[in-house]
Amino acid sequence: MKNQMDEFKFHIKIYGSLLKMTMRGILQYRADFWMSLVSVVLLNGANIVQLSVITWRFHALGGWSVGDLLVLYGMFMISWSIFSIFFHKLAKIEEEIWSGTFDMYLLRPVSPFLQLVGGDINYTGLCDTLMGFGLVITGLSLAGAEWGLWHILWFCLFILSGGVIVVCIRFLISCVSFWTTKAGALGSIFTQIYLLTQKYPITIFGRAFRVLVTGIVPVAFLNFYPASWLMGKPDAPAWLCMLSPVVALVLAGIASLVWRQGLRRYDSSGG
Amino acid sequence: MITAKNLSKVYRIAQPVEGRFGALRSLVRPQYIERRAVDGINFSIEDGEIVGYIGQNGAGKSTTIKMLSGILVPTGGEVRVNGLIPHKDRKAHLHNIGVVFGQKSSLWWDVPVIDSLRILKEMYRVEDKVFQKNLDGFSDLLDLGSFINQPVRQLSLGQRVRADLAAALMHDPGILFLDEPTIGVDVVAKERLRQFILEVNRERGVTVLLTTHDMVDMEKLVNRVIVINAGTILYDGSIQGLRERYGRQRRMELQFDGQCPALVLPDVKTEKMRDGRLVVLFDRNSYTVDEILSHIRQMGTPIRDIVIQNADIEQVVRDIYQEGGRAV
Repeated sequence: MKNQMDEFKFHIKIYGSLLKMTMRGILQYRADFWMSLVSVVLLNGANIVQLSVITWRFHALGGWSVGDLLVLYGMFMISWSIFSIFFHKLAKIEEEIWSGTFDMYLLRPVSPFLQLVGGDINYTGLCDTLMGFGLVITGLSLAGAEWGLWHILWFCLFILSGGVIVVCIRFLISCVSFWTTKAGALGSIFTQIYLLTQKYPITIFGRAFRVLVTGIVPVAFLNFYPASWLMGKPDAPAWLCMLSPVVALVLAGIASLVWRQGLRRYDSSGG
Repeated sequence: MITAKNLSKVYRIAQPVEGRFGALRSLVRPQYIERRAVDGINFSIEDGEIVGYIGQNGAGKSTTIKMLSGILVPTGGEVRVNGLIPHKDRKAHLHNIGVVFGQKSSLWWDVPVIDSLRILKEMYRVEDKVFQKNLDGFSDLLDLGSFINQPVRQLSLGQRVRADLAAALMHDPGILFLDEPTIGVDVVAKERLRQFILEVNRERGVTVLLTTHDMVDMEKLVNRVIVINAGTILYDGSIQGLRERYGRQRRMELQFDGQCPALVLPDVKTEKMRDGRLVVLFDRNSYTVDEILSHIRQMGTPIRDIVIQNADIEQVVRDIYQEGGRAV
């Protein structure tokens, strides 16, 4: 037990050092750094305009008010930004395998997963986090919702679970490249799916889609179920909504198993 | 001590599926072809040896190195390095070895070399004293000082390999695997790398296994050669032994006064050079030098100069590859 604790502390320390080093590498390209920040702000502005246009035209969408929808979208953005800031590299596993750089992670006596995620930090994702919080707060005031401490605690838990869910799904998709040459196709299918769930309540779609995003690619646990419960929507039973931490844990377990199998199956690149 | 017993690696290469939804179908039911990269090899390397591992591209050299390093899991057989099974005892094993790939750096691309070395120090839990001692030592031997504060992407290839070598040795491993460490490096830098490898072997007793295409590397560094072709070992022994077994060919170069004569003898290859020289290749077990020369003298053209050479190791290796291992 003490050993495991030491090992854990050691890895946290290494992760910190890796991030520090990665940040130093990024700051070498200062101009690029500021340009990216500006472009993300602009891009988010465009998104908000789009959302307001949509919600102005359809005052209520499947029984969700403008305020509800902003909370829905905001929660998605915050959870997603956890992935895009800290775990962005997981989407690049396929590339790393192809180029042969993945070998290097297996040559150092530290968890390859940690080396992988520590090797990149996508600071522009921070704008998504801020924008997400902005949307949630605006949404709450528009909807006239009052959250107590209990709601806020659940909100935090939902956001974290959502982050874990995105990370795990994207990670699992990347792991497919240990077995097959291309995981790209799956990646774009995933994109098509979450583009729908990020802004719209899934109740406006057909049953098949709802089953897909609940049980197979559980992105609905990122924002739809949590927001339903937090905003008091009758769309889903409370127990289902509160399942999102469990979904996150189960996915994390699956991802860790698949990753281990993948490493065993890993063929490196070429002879 | 490194041992490989009946070690083999079969790659299963996923084949793209043609037609509609090909990408999806290849996920559901992937189709593979198999490629046997290493096919039941056996060897054992003692502490302190420098062993050259040679073979053509695709012969299985890198695959072997990757199995020894623990990157790849063998399909069959067993590999042990200092008693550990690399892919099973990965972390403990990695403390015992250092690995350098000449083709790709193990350092972080965008940060100064010293930052990479520092983070490796943390990862391997190297003590401050040891780190400083190694850093000083390598700065001397590899002249790291002149580029240690530059990001790796700005380094020349020679500098980069030097940085990688230092990085691989920071944690005092007893074994060094070098996969084509001198590839693409200029002659002067190559010589420097060789000196360093010899020094590390002599002073620290580090066991070295290196793959190379450079025959000068072989002649200068290595006391033992393992030749691999199509996944199987063709030869394992000293360089002299390799020459005796395969390098029986002699190369005689003659300069004539006047017209270069035509020499026709069974099993003798000749080649007329542009400037009137004649190159004669023969097996020293089939002909003596005297026999060849008396045939040429009968033709009457006076000989001005003769050079006779051993087959160089490069020629030897080319012969082995061409014969595909049939010992002559």
